[in-house]
Amino acid sequence: MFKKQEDANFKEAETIIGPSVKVEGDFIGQGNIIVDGVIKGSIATNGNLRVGDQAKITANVAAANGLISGEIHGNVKIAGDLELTENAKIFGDIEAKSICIARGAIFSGQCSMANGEISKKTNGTKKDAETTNEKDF
Amino acid sequence: MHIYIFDYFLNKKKYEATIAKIETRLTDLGLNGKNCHIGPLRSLKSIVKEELRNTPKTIVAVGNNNTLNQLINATLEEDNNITIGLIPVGDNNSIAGALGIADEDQACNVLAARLIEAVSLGKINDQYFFTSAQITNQETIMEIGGKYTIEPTGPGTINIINLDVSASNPKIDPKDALLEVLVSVVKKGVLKNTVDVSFIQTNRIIVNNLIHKNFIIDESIEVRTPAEITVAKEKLKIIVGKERIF
Repeated sequence: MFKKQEDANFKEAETIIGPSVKVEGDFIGQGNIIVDGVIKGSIATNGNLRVGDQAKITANVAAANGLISGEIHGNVKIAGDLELTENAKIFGDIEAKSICIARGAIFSGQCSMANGEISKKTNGTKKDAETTNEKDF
Repeated sequence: MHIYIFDYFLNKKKYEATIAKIETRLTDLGLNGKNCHIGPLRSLKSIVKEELRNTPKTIVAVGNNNTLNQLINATLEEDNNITIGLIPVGDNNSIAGALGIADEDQACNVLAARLIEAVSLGKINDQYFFTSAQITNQETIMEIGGKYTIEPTGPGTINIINLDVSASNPKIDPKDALLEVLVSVVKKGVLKNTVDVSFIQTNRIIVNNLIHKNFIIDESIEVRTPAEITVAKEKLKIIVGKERIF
């Protein structure tokens, strides 16, 4: 779904955690991040996050957009679009604006799409209000 | 006035003709100044300390990467922000190439054109480096920005880069206030080995090596671990050529 856009963004990745590296602690980045290694702690970036097939993350994750193929044990909070490929394994809650899950992906947790719920509720309230007004007149 | 500091190895007979050629060319260009030769009883540090009293316009290292690194450290130790130049002679001159100086002839023309760039320097413990600091992966742990640690899981090298002399990565800019950490891990394959690469930008790293391996800075000087590596923004004013890589 977001693949073409994501590929273009990740060409400008500012941080790459390779498969032969272990990271522990609060990993806070400014730009796009590619993770193929092991991370324990937390990851946060205002850019995009791509988690590769071999990646094992035991951390809460926060990013602008996400493309997940590896394993994450922790909550995932994405401000924009989140895509889980067929190899993705997420054990934790997901929060995203829009989400795409491929067949074969494993997801165990709760999913909330906060913006969508709010907009639906808002629409509903407006309609109710209009109906009430019509009745009054 | 220009001060030219000739490295000790240039006292060898095979460099006589090259040195004479440089001196003639500098005179032709009106750049002649004071020539100081490093010797067994006269170190680069003592020459710099002595010559800075006369407030020269430029100090030029005549030699290789090692000469330039020593000159940078000697001038900054005196807390002097003087402009530095380089005339490459002999081997181990990758920095000159990155500065757009191909050989000693071009170096004289570059000095005459006097195009100056302010660049950042890496600082490892109390020593400055211009290009990179390299150490083996084996038993090495890095703490990045005081927030997280990175530990390579296989053999290879860690390169902390300020100026990439090979110009292979456009993100590495010696004018920004960032150091690039490149971790290469070699993975043995059946037919051929592969290299996994990790890339991080930061401005502060603490590196510890449990088997006491040393860093090599600017491909020439050893520095002991544990080491704190930081970046000194726009610390060096250096004369560069048009074909520089940054």
